[in-house]
Amino acid sequence: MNVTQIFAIAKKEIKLNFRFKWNYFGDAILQPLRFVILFSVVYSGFFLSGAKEIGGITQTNFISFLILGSLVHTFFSFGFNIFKTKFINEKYWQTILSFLVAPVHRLKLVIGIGLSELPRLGIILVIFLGIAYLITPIAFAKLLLVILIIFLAFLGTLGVSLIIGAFSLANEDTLFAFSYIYWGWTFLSCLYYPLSSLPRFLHLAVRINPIYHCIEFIRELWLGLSGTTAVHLCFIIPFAILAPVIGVYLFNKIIKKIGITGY
Amino acid sequence: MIQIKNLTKTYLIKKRDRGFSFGRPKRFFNALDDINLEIKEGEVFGLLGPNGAGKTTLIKIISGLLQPTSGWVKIDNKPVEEVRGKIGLMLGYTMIYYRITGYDNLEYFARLYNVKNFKSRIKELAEFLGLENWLDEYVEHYSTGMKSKLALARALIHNPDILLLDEPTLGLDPHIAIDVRKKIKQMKKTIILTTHYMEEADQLSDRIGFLNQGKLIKVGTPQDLKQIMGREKEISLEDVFIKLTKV
Repeated sequence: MNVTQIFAIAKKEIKLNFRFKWNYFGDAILQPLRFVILFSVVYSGFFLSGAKEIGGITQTNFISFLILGSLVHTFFSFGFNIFKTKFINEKYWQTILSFLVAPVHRLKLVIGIGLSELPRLGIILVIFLGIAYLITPIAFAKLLLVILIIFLAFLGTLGVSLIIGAFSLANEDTLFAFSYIYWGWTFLSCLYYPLSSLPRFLHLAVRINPIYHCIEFIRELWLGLSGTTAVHLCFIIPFAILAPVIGVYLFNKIIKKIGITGY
Repeated sequence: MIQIKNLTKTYLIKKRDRGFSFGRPKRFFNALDDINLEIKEGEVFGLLGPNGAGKTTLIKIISGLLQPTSGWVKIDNKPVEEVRGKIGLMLGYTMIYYRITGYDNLEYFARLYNVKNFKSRIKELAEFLGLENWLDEYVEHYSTGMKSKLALARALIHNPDILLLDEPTLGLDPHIAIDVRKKIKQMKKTIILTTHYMEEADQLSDRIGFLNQGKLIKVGTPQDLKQIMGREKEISLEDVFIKLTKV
């Protein structure tokens, strides 16, 4: 694979983002804090009222539980929405055509755009993992595995995002639906609460969700919560490989069939 | 060589009526209607036609940006998808990023097209188009003329065999327009050029095609086309344009 094109895409994106850098970094750093603060208040209330444990979450690990959830949520959120935002911008800047005519495999776009998000996601990663490490230290090998799992989930999410990006170019009428898909997917990922807190009829939907397996695996590694590593990997690895491939295939199909509309 | 055979592009459009409603009646609209054309290697082919004639649609199909409803385009006997790297496309002064510098734009596209020694290629193009002193500026600070030149540089960055230029001098003052035309004239490439400026088509084109309502109604050299008006003196392409495209 020719990596020059990947780095060219990443470099150009970083330069575009750095044109308004306060907005670029500010949103990324503040967004995850909202949920940590919100759920910290909720969990503090539970434990202050005498509760000892909620689905494996205790008074001693709930901050790490929330920080890890928020970290995965940040990667998921940025990954899911990135192509929608990017392609809408590029559609109205009329620059998307220059990419579409270039002889570049779309998979390189997925990786390049993913890399371009590293400056801000990297900061979140270091800060959040640093705090979690100070509260609950873990072995270095486990730490590396956690980072790898986060990036695999991010790669899969980027693949899904490319499909949404294709719709943002082809038919913006569909975009509201993706906002609800994002909301539902986040809800079914158990990022801030344990699976047991959801009604039983939703458990199947949660158990087939790769983001749920990502956060569960990380919590197993970090907090020692019970789980099955092999099952988690069976969801995370295929998601990381298949989602980008399917994303590229559908992106090409949608753009070929419908083209770009609305500008 | 570019071969275009039975090319048709049809859009389904909603009929306008008063007020807002779902499921408005629809009709088909042929943006291009059975276009047949061959453009030889090294030829400069001018596409003329009124607004909405289908010029940009044809350029977009040749570049692979749009799919035809029927018919095909081949470049050197290959489908467009296989020879995308041989094509340079300029759609006015779009397709460049305003929020980064001119140099960053050219570097980005050079790398996308795997241009070896891209630094010297950028320098060469900057000198050719008079962009040297502007490359380190954000494109948002460029004048329209400079943006057009940068867009042309972007289209040329990978030294394509085929250049598709859609209104390359639109909105430029006469000095810069003359300069851009001069640069286009100096290139030894297969060029398809759309324009509304008749003198531009006259100066640059080996052959000209008139498109009207999606149909290619006449193809010939500028001299041949002027013959249509008879033997009168001082016939311009504008006279021919008005005669051919009169509704």
